[in-house]
Amino acid sequence: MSRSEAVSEVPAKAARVRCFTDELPLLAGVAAVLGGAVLLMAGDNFALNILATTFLMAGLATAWNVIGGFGGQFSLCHGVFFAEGAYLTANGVVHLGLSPWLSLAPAAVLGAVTALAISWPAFRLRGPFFAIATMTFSEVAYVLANYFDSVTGGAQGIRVPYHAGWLNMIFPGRIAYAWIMLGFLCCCLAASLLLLRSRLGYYLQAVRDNEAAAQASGIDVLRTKLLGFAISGGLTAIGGSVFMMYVRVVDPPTLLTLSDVGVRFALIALIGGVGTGYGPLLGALLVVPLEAWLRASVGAYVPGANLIVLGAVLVLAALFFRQGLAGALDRLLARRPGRRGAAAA
Amino acid sequence: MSALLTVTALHAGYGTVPVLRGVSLYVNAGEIVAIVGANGAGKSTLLGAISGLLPPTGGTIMFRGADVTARPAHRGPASGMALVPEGGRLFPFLTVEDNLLLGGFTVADKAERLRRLNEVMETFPILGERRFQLAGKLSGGERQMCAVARAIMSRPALMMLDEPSVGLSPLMVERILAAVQTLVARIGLSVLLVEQNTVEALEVADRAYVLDHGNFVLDGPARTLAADPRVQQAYMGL
Repeated sequence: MSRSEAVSEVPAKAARVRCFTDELPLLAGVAAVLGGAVLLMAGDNFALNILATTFLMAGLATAWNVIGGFGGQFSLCHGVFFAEGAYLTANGVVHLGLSPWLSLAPAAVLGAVTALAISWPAFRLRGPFFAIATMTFSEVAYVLANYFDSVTGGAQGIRVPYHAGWLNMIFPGRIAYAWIMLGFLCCCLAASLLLLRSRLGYYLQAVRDNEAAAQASGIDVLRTKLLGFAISGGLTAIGGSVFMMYVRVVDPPTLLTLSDVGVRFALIALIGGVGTGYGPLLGALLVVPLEAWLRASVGAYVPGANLIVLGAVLVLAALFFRQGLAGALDRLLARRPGRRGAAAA
Repeated sequence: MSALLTVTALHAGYGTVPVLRGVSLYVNAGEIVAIVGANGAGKSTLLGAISGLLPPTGGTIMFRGADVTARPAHRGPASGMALVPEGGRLFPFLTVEDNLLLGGFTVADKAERLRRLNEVMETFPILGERRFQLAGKLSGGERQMCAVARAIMSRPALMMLDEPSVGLSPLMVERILAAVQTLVARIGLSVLLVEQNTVEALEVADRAYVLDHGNFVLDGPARTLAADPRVQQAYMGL
């Protein structure tokens, strides 16, 4: 039998490989459920604020997950891209009078280019050493943001004046922000799932699992990591832009405090399920509302106690949900016959 | 006729420690060539140097008529050279299917990749059964098969196997080597096999080289070597 015959003999039963279009129904369903939540909360500004923050953090954690989860490169400098997006948008509005909508694409480009510039030297390091190197970039950015007050407003921060209107991305009600953050989240999820089912997504995961084997399989390791980092940084910068218009005033601690920004993206992704499509969203759905609730309930009686409880919850999650909420959900679904790997996909 | 792979006076090492001290070998199309030798003889270093994972410090490597001495490792599969690293080195957190697909990304055509995927799963039915399992959960033998299958996905002209028998039962070793032989016969593959298990290696190989302290001390047809009293005494425990 010749080789070509052997090839054509492959039976019709041969299964196909999952691709991006297979992910669309679930993505649409998730978007619809989250949209339904926004409609349900309409009028309740407290709840809408929590939803908007949850969606924003979910989007940012999803963006982090591209390189931190799929690529296994534990970055702690995503606050830098986040801050860049915020400052770029603020400067566009304040100094040039541009609509914030116009700054989203340039912010993504700026974030991606900075990500390349930061990660190119940092990728000479691996594992924890890489994480420490990215941490220092974040700290350097903090100092620079304080110093260059013509761009950042220095320690006083930069303020976007209140002129309500669609074009200005400023709204009297909170519901519009919830929709914008949901839009951002959906963009991040779609980008992440598209990547997961693309060649680059496979390459990133291969590099994460074993660099030498990835190289032996024909993967340019450095190029793969750089691309993943750039995409992740670009998405994060867009998040910074919409965050700027949401709060309208930012200062360096808001954008660049390591524990509140850079580490938080990673933490949410870890709690939810690092390296999974929907894990970061699950993580944000747990952590952000829980934080708000604890602050209002426990924190109101004993100041700071909310952080102790939150810390305990995070420790428990790390102990008992090793693969995050997504992993736990996946195991739960796998127990029922006929279901396979929906959550972790 | 020029050989598929010709290595001339190859030197390689780690830092200032030389491991290979000028080895030369060739592999013809359709041939299984074994490199046998003791621990630390330089067998894995040799495959690392040929594949580009460890840049050689001297000598030349010609593959399909082109000089590939300084080529980076990730270019190997696209040029027709596939490495099966020691222990398989699968991507443990990806499924068997994803591992296999990763071997085939050298072809841009999606349909062709899928065809190859189905083909290797027919060649190794156990991989078809384990298709959606994480590769990290495979047994040692299945892992090795998966690694061979992943390498086959790029349709290489030369497959380099680094110690496929490590940690496997004798029965599994035989099955894997038999599968390799079948592949050679079916798709016209050449194999460079590095093995500590001299008996098994010489059984499947056409020719063999004996590596000792970074030099080839013997070479010739596998059968002749297997009958050589020096080889029998030093490497086969006879």
